[in-house]
Amino acid sequence: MKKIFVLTAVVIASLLCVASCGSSQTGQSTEAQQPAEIQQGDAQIQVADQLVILIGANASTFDPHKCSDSNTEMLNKNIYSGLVQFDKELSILPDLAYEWLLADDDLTWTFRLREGVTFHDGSAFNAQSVKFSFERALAEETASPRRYVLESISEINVLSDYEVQIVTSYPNGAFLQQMAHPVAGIVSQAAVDAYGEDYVSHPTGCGPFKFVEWSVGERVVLERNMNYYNGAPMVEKLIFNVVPDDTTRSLLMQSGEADVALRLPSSDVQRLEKTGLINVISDNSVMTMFVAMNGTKPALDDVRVRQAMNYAIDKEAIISQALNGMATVADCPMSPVTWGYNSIFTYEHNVEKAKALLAEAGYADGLELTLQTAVGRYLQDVQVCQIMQEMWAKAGITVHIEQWEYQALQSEMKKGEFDMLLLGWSPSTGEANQALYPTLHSSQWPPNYNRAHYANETVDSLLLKGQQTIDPDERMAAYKEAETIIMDEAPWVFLYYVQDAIATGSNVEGVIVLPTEHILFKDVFIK
Amino acid sequence: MLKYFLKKLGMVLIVLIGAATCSFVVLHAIPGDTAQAIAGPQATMEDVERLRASMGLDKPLTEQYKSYIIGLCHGNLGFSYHNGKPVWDLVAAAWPNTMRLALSSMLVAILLGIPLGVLAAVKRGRVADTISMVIAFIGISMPSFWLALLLILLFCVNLNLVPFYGIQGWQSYILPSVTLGVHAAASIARMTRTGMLEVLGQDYIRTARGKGLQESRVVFLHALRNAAISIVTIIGLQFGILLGGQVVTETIFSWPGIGRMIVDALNSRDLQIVQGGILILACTFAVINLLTDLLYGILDPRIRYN
Repeated sequence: MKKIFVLTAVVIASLLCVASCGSSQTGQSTEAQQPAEIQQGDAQIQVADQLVILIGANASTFDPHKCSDSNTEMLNKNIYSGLVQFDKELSILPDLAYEWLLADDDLTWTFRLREGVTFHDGSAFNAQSVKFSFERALAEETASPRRYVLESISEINVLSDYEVQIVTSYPNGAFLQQMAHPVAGIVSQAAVDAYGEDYVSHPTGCGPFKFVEWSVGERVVLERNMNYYNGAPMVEKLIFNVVPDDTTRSLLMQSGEADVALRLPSSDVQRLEKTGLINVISDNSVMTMFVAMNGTKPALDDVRVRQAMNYAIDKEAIISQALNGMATVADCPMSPVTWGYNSIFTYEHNVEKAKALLAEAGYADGLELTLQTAVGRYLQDVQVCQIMQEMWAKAGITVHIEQWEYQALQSEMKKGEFDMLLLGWSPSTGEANQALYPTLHSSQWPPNYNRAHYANETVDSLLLKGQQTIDPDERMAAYKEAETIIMDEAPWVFLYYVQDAIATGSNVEGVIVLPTEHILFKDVFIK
Repeated sequence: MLKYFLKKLGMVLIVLIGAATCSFVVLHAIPGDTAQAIAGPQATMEDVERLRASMGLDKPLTEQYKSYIIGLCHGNLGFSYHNGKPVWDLVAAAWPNTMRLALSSMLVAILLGIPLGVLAAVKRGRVADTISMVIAFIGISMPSFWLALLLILLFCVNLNLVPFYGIQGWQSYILPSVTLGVHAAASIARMTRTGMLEVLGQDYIRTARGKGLQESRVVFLHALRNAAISIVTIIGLQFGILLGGQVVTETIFSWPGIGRMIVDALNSRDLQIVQGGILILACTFAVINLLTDLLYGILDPRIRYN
């Protein structure tokens, strides 16, 4: 009996010790932070102690040359600066380069760099930093998953301490947008040399925030860069807490335990807005949702069938039923916020017209097809497929839905044997070349990303012209013509453009939401 | 005793090699391309192949398996190309969080389950027995995610009593421990009741009562001790189930544990993390089983290990 008591006491004591030896990280207070006040010029600006931001997924790597997920790229955009940057309309603004010139050969770009800028580790930023950074991103041994963004670069020359020349292998109309991509963030050579493989634990850029801490799966902490060339941010610390569950993120915002929450489900947006304590920012992103129809398959190789598939779908109904109105009907193969967008036309919902086209194509008795979709990859993906299935049935088209785990579907798609796929595409450079070339040029059939097996010689030459022309008006004209043909030939069922929603506390201002799904906090402040 | 312990340890090693091999084979058989998953949905095929070669995934499977096992023998669980960190660092950071939650959940389960089971056995056939078993039935039937969200709504959003995401001090353990512990408590209660009923019918219990001992001494010092073997067995099993089933709770409460890490890694096909996580969980479960076996000898001196 005595043995039992001793044993029980030891066990309970051990359990209490282990439970009490919890994480040494302290939690955030749920009380409102009292901002300090500082004088900056004539204005009295309050510097907040911290901003708590809820993100839905773990960060992957803080090495911008090895990062491929948009969630971590968003974090990296706050740590690193590039030569140029996007504004909210995806226009190009100066960043580390204040001026750039293109030579008459349309290949040679000269960037003039800001002087006096330093990396977070104190080392100087200069032309050599740019050369090092881009060469590292392009190096074979780096094996960068975003190398394709910079693949047009053939040469980087240091002209002087603050002048760098980049030569492209062809006239690249999208070059500046590519320079604004997260992979083009400039890294500190000193830090890379010092830390080697462990650089990911010591990411060092010139951006408005410095890396402090990364508890994998838990949080990322950044602190403001007092030496940021554009003025130190008005928040001491950004604390990104990983909260994978959508409902939990919404509840945390509602309870006041966070200042910003990213990627809210559309069902929670209206509820949070009604509280009056929370602002919801929602706008079109660069993502376009569509159904790719395999043009090598019988029936789908007929443009009349593909057009009928479009006419049979009531896109407005899908948006209101499945997405709570948080999307816009597609009238172009890319989103309105993407450079190169033109409003072409929408396929209006017309079941009779769909039936007539099917009859004309020899399918008066209907046809049977399969639609593959990933589960949980896109907002309400399965529900959207089910709604479309019902709509197609009214036009005599029987569609069987196959639900797949996303990575398994990625492998399956490469074989190119499917009938139809529900897909989304977000051009990471925010412009037409990345939106259209990989998805619709005939050289990009599976295993690449032209899932529709679309091939049109005129479109091919127009897309190439858009890619390899510098003059924006000429590019726009080429893209408009290509988009018109694409919409008419309907390799896709053009569905909608997704709207992203983020919630901020009513006292939080200055959050910059880019359509490329990156969120910048350099101008944020708390009222 | 030492011979028994060493024999059990040997079996643990065999289990771990088996777990490592099974996880390697299964993970490489499932559809999905690791290099494509890490490269992202817009990488060119050239970039994907370059990444594949840099990760050594272009080598034959037998060569990859050999490198993996040799690495394990040196304590190297591999490298996560998704995170750019050694797997050991990532797993070592997550494992204590999972273990602490599992232990605190087991504490809740034991404190709820054993008294409930004893009460049901002692008051067999009466109202207390029925109520106890209904409570156990509800506990076992309730989905953990549903209970978790209810608790969050009540105690966090409405009453603002405790935090409900991440680890923010000891208070953060309360809700997830209750969520997990309730389910395990139900199983423990039922097994305790069964064990106690079997023991309470024995002659030595009748003798103890006949000697005039207080009923509480009969129940807790004589009956419960003899029923402890089956209770310890179910506790050991429940611990394993807890470890494996924590992933839903970890997701809802944003708990940075191994369960959630494994699922995230599986979704991104970061197979090295999945293998490492499975191995650590297998090792933990094997050690728990070993401790359970050793505990039998302490509880029941009749058990010999020679």
